[in-house]
Amino acid sequence: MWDFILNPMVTLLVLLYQVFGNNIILSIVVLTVILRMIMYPILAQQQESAAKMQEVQPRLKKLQEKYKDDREKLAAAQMELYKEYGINPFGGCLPMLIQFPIFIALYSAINFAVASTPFQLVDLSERLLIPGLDGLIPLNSMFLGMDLTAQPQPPSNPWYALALPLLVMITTYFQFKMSTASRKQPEQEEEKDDAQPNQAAAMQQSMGTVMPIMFGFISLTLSVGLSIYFLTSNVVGIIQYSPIGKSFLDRIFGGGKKTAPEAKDEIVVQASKASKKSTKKGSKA
Amino acid sequence: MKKIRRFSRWQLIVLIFILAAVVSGCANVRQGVSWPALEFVTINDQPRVLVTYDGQVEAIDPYQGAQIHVLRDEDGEIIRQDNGDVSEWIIRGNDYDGSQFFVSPFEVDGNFLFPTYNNRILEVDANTPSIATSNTIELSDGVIADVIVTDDLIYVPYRSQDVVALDSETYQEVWRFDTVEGVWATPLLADGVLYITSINHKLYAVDANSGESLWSEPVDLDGAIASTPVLYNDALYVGSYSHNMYQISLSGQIMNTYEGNNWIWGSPVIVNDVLYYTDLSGYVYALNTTDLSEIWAERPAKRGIRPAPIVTEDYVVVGARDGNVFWLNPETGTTVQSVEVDGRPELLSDMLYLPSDEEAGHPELVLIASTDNKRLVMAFNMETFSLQWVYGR
Repeated sequence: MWDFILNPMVTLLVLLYQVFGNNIILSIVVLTVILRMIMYPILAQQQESAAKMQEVQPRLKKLQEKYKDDREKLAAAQMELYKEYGINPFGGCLPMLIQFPIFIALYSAINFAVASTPFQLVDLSERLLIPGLDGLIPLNSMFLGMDLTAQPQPPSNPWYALALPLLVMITTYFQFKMSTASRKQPEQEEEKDDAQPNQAAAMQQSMGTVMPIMFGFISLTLSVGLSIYFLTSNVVGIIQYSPIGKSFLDRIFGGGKKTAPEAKDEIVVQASKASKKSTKKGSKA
Repeated sequence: MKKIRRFSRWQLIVLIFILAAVVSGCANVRQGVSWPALEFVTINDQPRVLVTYDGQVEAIDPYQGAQIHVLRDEDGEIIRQDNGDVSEWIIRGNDYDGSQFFVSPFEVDGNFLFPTYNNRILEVDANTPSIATSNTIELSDGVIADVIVTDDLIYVPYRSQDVVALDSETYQEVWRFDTVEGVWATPLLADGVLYITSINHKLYAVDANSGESLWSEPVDLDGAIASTPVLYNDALYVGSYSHNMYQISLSGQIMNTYEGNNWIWGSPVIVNDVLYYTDLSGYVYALNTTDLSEIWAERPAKRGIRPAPIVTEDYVVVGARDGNVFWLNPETGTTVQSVEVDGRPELLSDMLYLPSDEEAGHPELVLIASTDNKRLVMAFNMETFSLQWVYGR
């Protein structure tokens, strides 16, 4: 089943390799940029959903306090609030679920394409969908004296290849900071208000530390080709999250932040009514 | 009111690493170098099969499938190690700097020499089997194709680039031939000429003594070449990743071409003027050797067939990546019998054919290796198609 995403991706990568004069680095970079651009509307939707969630946080907190002893009423009030703001509760994770297999496929495609051993290469024979691309195999996997199929450390590669995992770490950190920058402001203000530790903020902080280390470590253990992919992906991510890049891309894709409706305190009342109705229905049944 | 944090920092780290592991799992990245190699040898006057795969080499009984645990000398006495332990015929790469083995050994003066993936050749006393570390031959690259030995020279194909000729006594490099990229197939030595195939799409003809190129230009076969050519009636036959099987004159001219369906990795086999070969889309072909015209082309397997076929009077036997073994009619290509191996492991290794020995009561067998350690080698009876034995690590 996985092959229906993976095989076109491998084929596209090899096709780009042909287009760019047998330059595997350029083909990895271009394919990563293309896919991140295609995925941008989904990313923008995810960001918008996250921003709206941030907006409703103070009101959500009030509801949580008001209905702390009645979970049913709280759920109904939350749904009403989401409805008013046009928030899909799954709007944050659904786009992520769509993006996930595509980026995994890209990661795998690079791995298959830069195969260096017979055992790895034998699998590539079933993945090229366009006739004539077979003549390009095996792909030239050397770049600036580095073997893209090997780990970025001696003796497999020269010492300067170690700069790649380091760059992956740095760019992962910056991408993460950029992605959370827009959301951090209200959270911090909120924290000042109630002076209590915020779980989401704590998690974000942990992620911000762990993710760069994890990706740096992964890059150190995987091939140089994958470091190039991580690096490109992070740089594109940084551009996408930056205000200039975002406004430019929003113009291209026709997106942009839509303002949420003004808060109405009626929700609480409406929620109580809705809850009463459902209780009555429940008792009749 | 005090809020409870659901995840501590360490829990989160563990969670992210688990996620990373899942991601790596989803990515289905194939790790590994190559597949097992099988070689029929004689140890202490007994027929044995050497199984060479990854970090280990062992000798097994070809008719029982049992590992040779107890070694006996010429007088039938059990050979013991210095500490009194019974010797077993096994070589562990971990004992020698993590050496990895993917090719069959060659024999020099009663000793086995094992080329490794780790840039060296280990010399092993065939009977004990102890490695004379003082006789380790250092190489400049790893080896994933069998080595050729003559009285004077040892020809070593390197996995990344070049073929070198070593002096068979001193192991010093006599000459080196530049192949630009890796040599993944054993060269063919015929009439003082070494025919070398490389994954850089080229076929070279080289003087076996001097290492000088005999053709003004190598033959370009439009795709990587990972199989050994076959010489038959003054013509070379070899396939490439271009999907084509080629007939090439000894002067380096392509005479005929037959287009198949996918990469060709296994060497062709010629029997009674018919050339049989397989490809990585699961096809088996039978062609006329005169002009490469098609006799039949059948697709018994759902996945690719990597190894060369075994051709007998009655059958063409192939093992496929879908974990099936097929017996085809050599005249029509129709499938006579197929057997699915338990767990359907990939069957990538070249097979070994053992003719029957009526005096000793041994049946006609075909030995097939998989990349699954639990079913590393399997023997199938050629008459009954039944599984005779399974050897696993």
